[in-house]
Amino acid sequence: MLPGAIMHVAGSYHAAGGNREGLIVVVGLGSCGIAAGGQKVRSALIEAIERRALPIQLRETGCVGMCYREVLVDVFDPQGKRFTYGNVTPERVERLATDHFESGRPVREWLVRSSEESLADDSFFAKQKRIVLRNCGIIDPESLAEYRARDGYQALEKALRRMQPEEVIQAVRDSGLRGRGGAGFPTGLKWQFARGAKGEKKYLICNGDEGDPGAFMDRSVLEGDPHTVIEGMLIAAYGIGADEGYLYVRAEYPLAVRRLRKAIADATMAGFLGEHIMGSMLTARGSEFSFQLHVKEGAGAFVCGEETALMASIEGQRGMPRLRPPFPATSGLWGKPTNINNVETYANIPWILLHGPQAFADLGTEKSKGSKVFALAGKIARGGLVEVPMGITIGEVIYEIGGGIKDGRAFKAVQMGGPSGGCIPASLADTMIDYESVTQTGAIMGSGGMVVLDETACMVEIARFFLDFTQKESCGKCTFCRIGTKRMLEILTRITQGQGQEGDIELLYDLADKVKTSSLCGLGQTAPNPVLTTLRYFREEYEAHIREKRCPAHYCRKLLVYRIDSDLCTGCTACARACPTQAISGVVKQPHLIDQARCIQCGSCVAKCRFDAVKTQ
Amino acid sequence: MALVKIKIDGKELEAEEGKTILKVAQANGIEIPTLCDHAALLPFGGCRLCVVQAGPGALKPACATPIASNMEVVTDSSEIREARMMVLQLLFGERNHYCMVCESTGQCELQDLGYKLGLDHFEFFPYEKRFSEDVTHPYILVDQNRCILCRRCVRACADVGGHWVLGVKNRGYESLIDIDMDAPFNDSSCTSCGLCVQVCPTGALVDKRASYLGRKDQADLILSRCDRCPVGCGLEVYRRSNYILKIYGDWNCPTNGGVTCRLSRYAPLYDERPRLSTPKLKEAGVWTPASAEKTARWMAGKLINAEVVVEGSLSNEDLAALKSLFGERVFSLQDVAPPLPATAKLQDLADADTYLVIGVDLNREYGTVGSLIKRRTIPGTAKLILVDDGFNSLAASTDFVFSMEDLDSALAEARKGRKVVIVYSHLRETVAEALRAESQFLRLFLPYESNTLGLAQAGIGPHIAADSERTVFFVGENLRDLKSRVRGATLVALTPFETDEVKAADLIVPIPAVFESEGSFISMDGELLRKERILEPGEGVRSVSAWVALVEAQRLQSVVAKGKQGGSQ
Repeated sequence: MLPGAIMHVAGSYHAAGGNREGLIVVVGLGSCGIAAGGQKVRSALIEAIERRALPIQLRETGCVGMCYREVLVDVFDPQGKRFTYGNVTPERVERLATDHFESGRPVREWLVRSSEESLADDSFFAKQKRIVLRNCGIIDPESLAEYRARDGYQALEKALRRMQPEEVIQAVRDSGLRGRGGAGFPTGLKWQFARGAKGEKKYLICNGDEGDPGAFMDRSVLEGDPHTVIEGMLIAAYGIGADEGYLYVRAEYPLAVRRLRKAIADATMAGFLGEHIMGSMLTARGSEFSFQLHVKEGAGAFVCGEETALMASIEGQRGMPRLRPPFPATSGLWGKPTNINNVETYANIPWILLHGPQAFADLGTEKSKGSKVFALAGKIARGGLVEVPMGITIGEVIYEIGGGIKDGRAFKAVQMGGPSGGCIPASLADTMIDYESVTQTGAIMGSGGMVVLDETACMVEIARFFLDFTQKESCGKCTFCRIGTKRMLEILTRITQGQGQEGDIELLYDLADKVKTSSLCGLGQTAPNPVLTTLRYFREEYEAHIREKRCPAHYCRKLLVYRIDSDLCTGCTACARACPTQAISGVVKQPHLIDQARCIQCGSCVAKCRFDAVKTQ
Repeated sequence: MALVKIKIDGKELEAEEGKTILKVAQANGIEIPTLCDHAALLPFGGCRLCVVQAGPGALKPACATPIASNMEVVTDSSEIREARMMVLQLLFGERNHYCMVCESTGQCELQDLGYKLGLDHFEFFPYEKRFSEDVTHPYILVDQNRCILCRRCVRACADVGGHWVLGVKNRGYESLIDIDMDAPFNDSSCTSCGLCVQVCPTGALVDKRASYLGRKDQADLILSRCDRCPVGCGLEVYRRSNYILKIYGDWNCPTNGGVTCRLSRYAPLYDERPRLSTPKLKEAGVWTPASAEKTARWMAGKLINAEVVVEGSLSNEDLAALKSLFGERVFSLQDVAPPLPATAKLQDLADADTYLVIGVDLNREYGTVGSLIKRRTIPGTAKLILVDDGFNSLAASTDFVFSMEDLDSALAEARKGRKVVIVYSHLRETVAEALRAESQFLRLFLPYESNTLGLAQAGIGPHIAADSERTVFFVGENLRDLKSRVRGATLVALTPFETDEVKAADLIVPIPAVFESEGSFISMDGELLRKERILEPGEGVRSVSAWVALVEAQRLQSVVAKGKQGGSQ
């Protein structure tokens, strides 16, 4: 982020708040911040500020992305300088107040970022390109004024005032934006289909049913900048000619739902939603545009992220995928032409209209334009929410933005695309992040989950974990997806338990192929991907499990042999007392022994040993 | 739709663009195995058994893939056979599909496919998880352990029957067919139309009564019409020796397209009223069996000044016979004339956008009409407005429920529609008057009984209780309150059942029950329909026409005898 932009933010804060004198203190209160204790920090700040009677404005914002540093507190001074404190606790507030708020001396050692480059390391942000997240962690998501101060609703105004619907669609086509839900279908083309579909009534849907384990891109956007999504939808609705829309959000995202509802209410009051949008501000043509937006909470089914299942769910039916064709563009919600995109796709739209399609198309690779948001999770040093230009390599994201692997371990693989995606091994860290390159590895771009695995991860277990998820979430319609995935899971489970047989790998391939090619919807078609990619890159781990009854990563308990290192054992008897099968024997203050015949590999001894004397092999 | 050329297994064909591969193949005699597909239901694409090679890339389900110009389809190859075999393996191993202990063995589509595709072992060890059975329903048994989750029942119940009772709960392999959000079947909103049983390919949904009585292919199939109400649904009746195995709706019948209701499919088979097998005469207060001759002679002797009162379910042939005997003195038990003349036919229900149902519970009577309406109103394609006082189970399927008092509001709501059909049977005078003014609405009159229109056509009007001493014959299967209709008269009841009610008569005469008679009747659409005789009645039972013939013969004899007497004097 450029200091100029930060100036602009601070300027907007000061403009919105009318306070040109004192500091502005902003607490990050996305779900991540709240979970880390953000509300307590906020209370402590209020108390400290009030006690000192300082002329400080306390505000809140959404997720800035540095989840590894929550709770985050930003301090803006009247000159527009920004100081970001990480790992703030209520106990640390006192010193912040004394040193920084009162005396103007930033607490250097707690700074994680600052517009004063000398003060903190900015490598987490250096390689990012924030389009979707341009306001996240900066503005108060519940304030329409702050959104407007950051060019909010100007793209809509531009579209309504100066562009024909066809021109809007053309701009999106020119930008090269592709669906950020995972499949990567060209967004402009999709809009064109919906615009061309016959019918007076058309619907627009935003898919916010983010269900991948470990993914939180959409949640952060909805919590941190709900108006961007609404504005993107409004522009899309104007483009395709829809007058009613649904924002389908997981009910597990209560904060996102609450902020969206507030944003919709505020936008309606301000004339950006409802009848005759921006009627008083625009010419007659603009005022002909009306759009009603509803929030529909999902009921927790992963398959409802599939567009046809999602529409069935909105209609009040069981969320099950429907046959295509007809495609939603011709017959979608309630049989009417419907356009459906995900949260991130819509969030790109206002930026594209304001900065022009070319600015967007300048970013990225030949076929994948713009930027992509990823939720960086797993064994990574700096986990969080990042937005990178397309074409950056996986290695750059992990090492330069993510700071490498946690605890100095070795990078083994990265799981991209959630349960529908696959594992890309460390040897392919040079892979560029674009739709085609990622697909070539056997994984998928997906909606942006990136789970980093280190050397302690057993790849069979990883495949088993993700398949366990998809087979439970199968709607049960197609035979292959319903039972095929379960049979695959059973095979994987028995491999991890040391019951694998010769022929299991071939059977897995056979089932995976049929599940992939013969399932109706994306859930079944991609469910075998974690298995196929781990088989492709880590087949030797499968073979070690099956033939040698050995887990190379020392993860699968049933395959471990527990031994007590007699040099380290102090004979404290803690392990012997914890052992449920009395497999451990020994005299007090003498090294103990494990009877392998009795050992059930439960791991209790490892957990109890205070001397790290129980070893596995 | 334009015709396009495609190739299936090398055979060049022409078919309408947009039709599915499966439909085109079937129309051209090319067989593709299917399970979840059903001719009467919309494509579903769940079982994946019908996969074919259509162009490059992955196999596609024939049931759900529309044809396109120059498409080349291969329906059989080693890859396709392998994929289909895997589907069968997965299905057979999913639940309890041990055929030797299943009611449906020999008439199960899953089993048939196992034989046909050469399934000779289980690739996967079958799960032993036991799922629930629901035996609470009076007619239908649900065994989830036999279910392959093809959802034909769910789709038939919703899309064809319009009932939306069945659904699916849980996810993945734990999916189960669900009844009214977890209700016992008997406590559910099920109307017992039986469509689910009719479409189930396995033994998951079974007619309780038909269990272990034989298979469909051991039975004779007789196409007939239902005379339980004036809709006149087409039926497939399966008969084995002299009992009825099961009754299905006739998918090809233009009247009902396969839909029926409890009254066609189950009620007659569960009629447990004692049968009357021989004529009985009350002599000095004691019921004595009488011979056919004696009975006919007795009846012939009472014809002078006699009249006959019939139920509206009598066939045209029986009515004609009675008229030949009684002349103008044939009357109807029920009303005959509609309160308002009808202007619509059943087919008008197909494209109306508003239905105004007045005083009829279409889940309990005229069930097929209910299905035709509900399958459009519940999904929101059309609007159902109900006007009734007291309980009407249709009220659960609509937001627009009004009392008779509030008819004006109902009419105001109906006027919003473009094509409005009023559905009614009996109407109060005031209501009929108010409706008469709405001439823009179509009127679908539900006649009171199956042959009410036949009675009307024969000029038979309602019976008026008589004061004078005379003999009254009653003909019908639900006769009751006979004494209240005449005073001090001699009563004769021609009826299939020996109930306490008919014992108010002096003579009771057995006639065939529902499946033992044949004849024609006029449906609510004014069509002349024919009901077939399915079962042979017992020995002492004679049709109304046969009794009339016997009585006629006796009368002639007595006339001849009188003539002889007269001649000899």
